[in-house]
Amino acid sequence: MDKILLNSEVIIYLLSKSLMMLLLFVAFLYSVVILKDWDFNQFTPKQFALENRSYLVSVIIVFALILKSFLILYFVHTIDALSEFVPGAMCAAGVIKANIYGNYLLVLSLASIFLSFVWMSINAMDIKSLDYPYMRLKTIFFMILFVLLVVEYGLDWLYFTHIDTQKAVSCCSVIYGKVGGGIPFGLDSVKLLVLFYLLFVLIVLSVWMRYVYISAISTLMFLVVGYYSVVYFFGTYIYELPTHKCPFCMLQHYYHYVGYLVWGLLFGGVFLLLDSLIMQIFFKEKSIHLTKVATVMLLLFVALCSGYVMVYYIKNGVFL
Amino acid sequence: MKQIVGKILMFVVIIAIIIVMFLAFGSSQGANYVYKGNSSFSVVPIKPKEYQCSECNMDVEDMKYAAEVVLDDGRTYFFDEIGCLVLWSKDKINIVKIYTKTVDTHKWIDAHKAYYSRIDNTPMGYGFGAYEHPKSGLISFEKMRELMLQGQNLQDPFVKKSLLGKDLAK
Repeated sequence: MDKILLNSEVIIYLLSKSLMMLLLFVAFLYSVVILKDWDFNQFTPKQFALENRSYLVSVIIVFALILKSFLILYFVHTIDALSEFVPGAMCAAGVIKANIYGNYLLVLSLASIFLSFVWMSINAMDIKSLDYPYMRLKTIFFMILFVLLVVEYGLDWLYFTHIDTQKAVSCCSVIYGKVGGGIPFGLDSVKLLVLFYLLFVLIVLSVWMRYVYISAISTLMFLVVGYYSVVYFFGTYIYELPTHKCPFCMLQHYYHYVGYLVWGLLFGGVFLLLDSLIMQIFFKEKSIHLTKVATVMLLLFVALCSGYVMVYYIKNGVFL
Repeated sequence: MKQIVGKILMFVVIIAIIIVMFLAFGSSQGANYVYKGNSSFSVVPIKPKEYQCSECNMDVEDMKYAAEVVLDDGRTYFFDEIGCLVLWSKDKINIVKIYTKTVDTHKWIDAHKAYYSRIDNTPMGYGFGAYEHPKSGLISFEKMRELMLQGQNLQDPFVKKSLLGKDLAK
């Protein structure tokens, strides 16, 4: 445990997370006051002070949430670096499964990033309007998000303090290889690929035609299919090895850190698109710019994955 | 015109996705039968309904009587009770380890070291429940195997009557 907690990456990660939580805690305290005393129809000095303060609180939260979005990249880098200390682990795949908290932490981190995007979109709409129409909503939403972030912070500590450096863990070839069970839902590589490209076409078409519900369903499906496609098909072209199936190894320098780009484009694109769809469904906000950015990110993701396959074929004349 | 083309394209894509999903689910085998790569020949902890019994094809759901066998190539097969395991393994020569879940201590132990009751309410009704600690009326693995292969288990009405009709301790 000491080896883990004294690791420089872990120290930097936990300190950054602690600072972020401190900022969010201050924002949380102010949010309670704002929620209690907020009345936009009043013309009292207290209300004006609250309006000024709410802007400051929004800036603090936006800063902390953007920091949080970048911190997940550092978290992944940290657990990848810890694979040197955990016997059996060759990359972050083994380290994340070193105890029961790892997977929950990763999923909660991704979920809280998505909710942070939604909060920032509501905040942007609120600040753009003159009468703060979403002040109560965004404050309550932030409080719920804060509770989630506190749970995540607790999991951070539980995870890093419970990594046993004496106990061997499985490496990625065991977790994601034949023993791990392979592609779920009865899919094989061909069906997975067909679904991957069909879902992407459906997303583009439904975004273009403005069918928000179809966009939302296809985007959620694309997240799942995209993840499995990268792990079980496109990843093998990144590693140039048909038996190497792992979502984490591609984050290492051997593969030019391309995993950060691959996963960043997939999760970023999906989260931003879902965010823009939520804005359209619940707030009647068109958010065309956000939709365009998200679609371009997904397009780049598909192009990047397909590019690896094409380059391999051009270089070697065969598919894996 | 653009709208009509877009709608037709979307319809075609949705239908194609549904067909692919149907094909995928149609070929899905549901629960698994085998765990590969158990090179350490150790116990593979399983969850209820994660695997199917290789003998009777039922889901291994009730973990109380579950059993598993590890072959020399690391493949591990699962059974809903030791009776099924005995039937499945009668012709197998490459068995390295046999594990069973115990009724009294709820642990996975070496099946050869367990003691077997003949009157337990097991999933397939053969009646052999594994116990870690010996007590009167319990039999050894070899004896249980012999009785199972002879058909001398609770599925036989004569055996059932003779076993449940009198106290085994005597």
